[in-house]
Amino acid sequence: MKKFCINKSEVAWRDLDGEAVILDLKTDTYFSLDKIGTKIWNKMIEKSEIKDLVSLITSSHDVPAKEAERDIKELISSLKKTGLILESAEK
Amino acid sequence: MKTKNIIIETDKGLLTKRLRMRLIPFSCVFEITSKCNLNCKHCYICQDKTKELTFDEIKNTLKQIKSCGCLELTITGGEPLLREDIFDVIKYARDINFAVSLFTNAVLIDKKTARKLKNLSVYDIQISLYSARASIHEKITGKSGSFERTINGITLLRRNGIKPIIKTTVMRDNFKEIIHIKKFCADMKLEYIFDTMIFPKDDGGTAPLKLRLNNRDLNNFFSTMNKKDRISFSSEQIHYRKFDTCAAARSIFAISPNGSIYPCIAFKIEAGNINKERFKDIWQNSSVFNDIRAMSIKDIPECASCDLHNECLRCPGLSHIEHGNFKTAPKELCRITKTKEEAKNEENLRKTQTHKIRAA
Repeated sequence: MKKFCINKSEVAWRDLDGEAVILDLKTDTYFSLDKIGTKIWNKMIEKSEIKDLVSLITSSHDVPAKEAERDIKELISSLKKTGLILESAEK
Repeated sequence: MKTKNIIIETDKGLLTKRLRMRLIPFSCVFEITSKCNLNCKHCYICQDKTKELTFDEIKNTLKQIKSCGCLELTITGGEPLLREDIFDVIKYARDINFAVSLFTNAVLIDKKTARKLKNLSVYDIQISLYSARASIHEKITGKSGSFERTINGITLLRRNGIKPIIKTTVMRDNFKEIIHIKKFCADMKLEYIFDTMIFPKDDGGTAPLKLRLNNRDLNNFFSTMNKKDRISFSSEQIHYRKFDTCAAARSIFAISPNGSIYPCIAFKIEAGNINKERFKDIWQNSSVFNDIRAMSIKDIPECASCDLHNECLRCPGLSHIEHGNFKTAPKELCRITKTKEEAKNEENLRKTQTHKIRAA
């Protein structure tokens, strides 16, 4: 079971009224996330599975689960690639 | 739904613009102590006789500024490593997700300290170094043996995978050392920043001002700089030039050792004290901050009509120090900006003449 969480030791961030501003401490690069991205980011303060993130979004937005899952996976992929989140496999 | 919009901020200026428009106190310089183990000739800090914030008070302060949106925390002094609880402070700041920078003279950095700084992911460490030679460095720091200890600190940080930035205040005693500092940094693969601004002491003492470069030496200094060289109050904050004024009281602020809140480390008008009021109230309601926010270049006709106003940072903190009024032209910055422009024009002229000679 794959879980995702913020790479806390290598990033610093703030939620500025729904816009996450994230600093990659290793590369000194800033990123920002829109409101939905920020909700997902905040959820990943604790280890979370894709299904947790999907239900977080579908419970508060009028969006089909499949569409939410596709977009969330895309976001997770970007965040992993930049090293802002970590993936762990847990039972 | 669009969750795929991760935006890469390649231009910090764009982020800064948004933050200052929204008046988010994003960057804090925290003078955590005024005590220092060196006695640098040019230093503006006066040993603060009032009580420094305790660790609990600092934690409370950090919690408050975090909730207002502060992310960038620069810990400075005095010498911040003199505080016995410095690593507790840094750890706490990192635990609540601050990006922590540290300004230090590196004298107290040993193997253990270097490892701790690495483990805590302190992301930007700036170290004061005034020369690549002990005699000049120590003439400025007033402390025998400080050069060797600073170099040792830098070396230990490098061994732990940290690349500190070397910060050199350029003054009469060391302006001929620039080339050697650049070479030292190139050999150690380190970045450097030069700073030609020398401020009076916080109590108004003018002794440091005698160390300022005269116009000829200032011109020579700028002539030796290339485009990649970072200079404080110049290339460093180039994005501020898009605005009337700097970011003080808009997206940056400073905290003194006893908890006073200022618009900037170089702009010491007290807006309030964290032990007496909530930070949020100071940030939103202080008349000091609101006066600064209301200021525009139109309030300073001398700056508004100056041909070089796009090249100048118009530091209101310096204006306040010079004239007791921040709505005035900061004369020292006028001098520096004019001299820099002259050096640039002379360099352009030299290039044109060389080109003409080659073409002939």
